[in-house]
Amino acid sequence: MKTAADRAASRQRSERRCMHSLLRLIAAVSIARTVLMEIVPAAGCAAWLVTAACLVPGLLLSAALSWFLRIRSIETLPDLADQAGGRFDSTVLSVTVALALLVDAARSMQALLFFFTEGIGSEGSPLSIALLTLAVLLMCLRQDGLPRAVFFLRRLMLAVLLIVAWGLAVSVRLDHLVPLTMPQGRGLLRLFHAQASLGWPLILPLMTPAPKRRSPAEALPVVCGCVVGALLLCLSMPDELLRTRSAPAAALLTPVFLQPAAMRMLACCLLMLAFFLTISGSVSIAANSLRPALRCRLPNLAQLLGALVCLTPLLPSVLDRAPHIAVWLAALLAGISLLLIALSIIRRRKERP
Amino acid sequence: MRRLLCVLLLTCFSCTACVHLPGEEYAFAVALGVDYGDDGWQAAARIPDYQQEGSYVTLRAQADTLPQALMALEAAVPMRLHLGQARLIVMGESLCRASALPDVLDALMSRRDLRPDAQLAVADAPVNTLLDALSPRTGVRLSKSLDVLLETRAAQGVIPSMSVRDALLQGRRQAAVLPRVRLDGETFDLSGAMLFDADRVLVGALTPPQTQLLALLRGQMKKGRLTLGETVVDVVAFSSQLRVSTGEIRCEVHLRCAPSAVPDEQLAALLTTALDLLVRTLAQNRCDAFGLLRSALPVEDAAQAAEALATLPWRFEVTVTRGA
Repeated sequence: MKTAADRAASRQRSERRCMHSLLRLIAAVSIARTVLMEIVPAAGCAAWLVTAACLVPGLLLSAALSWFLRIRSIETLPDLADQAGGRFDSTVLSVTVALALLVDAARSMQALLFFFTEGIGSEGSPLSIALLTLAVLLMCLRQDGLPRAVFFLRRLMLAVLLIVAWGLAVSVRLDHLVPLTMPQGRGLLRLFHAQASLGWPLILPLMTPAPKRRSPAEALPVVCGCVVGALLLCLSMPDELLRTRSAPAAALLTPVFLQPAAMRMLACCLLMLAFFLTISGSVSIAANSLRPALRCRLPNLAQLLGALVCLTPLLPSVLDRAPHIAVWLAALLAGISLLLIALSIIRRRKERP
Repeated sequence: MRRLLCVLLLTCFSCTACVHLPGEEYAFAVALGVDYGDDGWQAAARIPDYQQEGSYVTLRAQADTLPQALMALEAAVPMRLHLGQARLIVMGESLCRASALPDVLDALMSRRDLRPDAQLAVADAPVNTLLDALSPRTGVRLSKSLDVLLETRAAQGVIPSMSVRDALLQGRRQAAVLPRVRLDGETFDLSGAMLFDADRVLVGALTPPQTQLLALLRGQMKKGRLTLGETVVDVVAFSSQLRVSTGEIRCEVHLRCAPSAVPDEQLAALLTTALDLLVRTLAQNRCDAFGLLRSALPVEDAAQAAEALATLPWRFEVTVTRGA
């Protein structure tokens, strides 16, 4: 017979699991979008290798933070900030995460606009698509069912992803990988410099309590999935095709466009669903992170941020700077995280008799 | 959560569904023709004549570049041109001899409404005249008639199947082999293949029986009637394996065919001779139709590797068995 306390604990575990699913989805979509739209056109058939290399800093940071939280028995990164530096540090961390999520949501929104306006099936104008997305966001953000919806849909989305991957696997040719034509010299350095922050979303699951005991390897499934996906893309398409589609819309849509007809429909649904859920999730988490920092209730903050994110892609001059802003925010986030670890260690040593 | 799920799923499915395309406002091109000559680039589209069921009209345009010609074609159509129903894209022989296949593919890919399953073909007759000869042979719909014709011909092995998507995915890893289209009197004839080299320039042609052999070797045809000179063989199963070594290319062929009066040894000899003639034709035209260059030979120097591939001798080991 379950007691009320057991039921409450079970409910809490479920809520944490749902939130964890949402954060993993945000991380996976953010990485996949950057790989498709920025790394693949620049690196061609070497994109999987560049992706793996660019994910290493994020993966190491995430593993180090997870390990540190685990040995100190601290639940989340904001808790660590509270303990190590106090309220100010916690606020700075929350605001940085919120800004990084909002910038990422704006870039996902831009990808969604490309998908609708230059993609398959629809011929909507950017404004009408932005308003449609805003309407969906306003409905999603009114309730807290978003993480539960992601948790409920996770197996369905995974199944569709596997079917789409099968569609790509049919045209896999091992000789698409050779010769491995990487960007040379400065080009390669510039690419690594621009994409070294690719793995920043891997820190996101550390912002909320984990459903089970933290493990340094908890970001590995997302990383492996993204690298395997990039490898599959490189194996199924020739280098010249990957490189010539350098316009962001073409880079995003070519893998979908070249799927067999039935798979194309599934791939479209999966991409749209993933983008809608990611944008909504990012805005929702950003609003939750900003509320304590702003020290006011602001019940409609998520809706306000949602409107801001939806309308940002209509201002191309703002969005042109988004990749640079994202790199700086990711670097700031990594710096703050490492600083928190250092502060925590110093504080522990001072407290020792 | 339930309401949220409903909203999300409905939005996704309604957005991916067919956009509202009223037939009165769109001209759905069933076949598209592209050519290059002394007058510049020519583009033509075969669209239904909406005033009379079952009849089709050809619209033409020409300009200095292919994108301009496609735009001029759009202007020539009384409605909005849509390529979402295109079944066949015919390119002129002179165009393909001028190394313009990648340009054509790029220009076509820039059209967001292009159907990626549309089949590519090369015409050795003027494209405009050829499109005029396109009319439904079965039923009243040219699209269905073309679908059936292309599927049947590809299943018979007398044309290679090559859609826009296949051509893009193939890239430069393998030389392109496209179906051949010609005018037989006033009839549209689809048989044989056109060979391209590594630079995607049209270099030669294959006869329909040679195209069948190529389809068998590439695994695109598994069974059917195969013509070897004056002998016709009912192929029940066919498998082949190519192995490239430094000294030769070894080709193991297993043919299972229906019982006939021709002895097995004679059939094996006939098949070996026909295969030998096919690979000689391919080698003479520097056409790497099997993608051997990138998959089996070193690629540091592509020109040297192509030369090495063309001079490598082929050794055929043909096994013939009988059975249903």
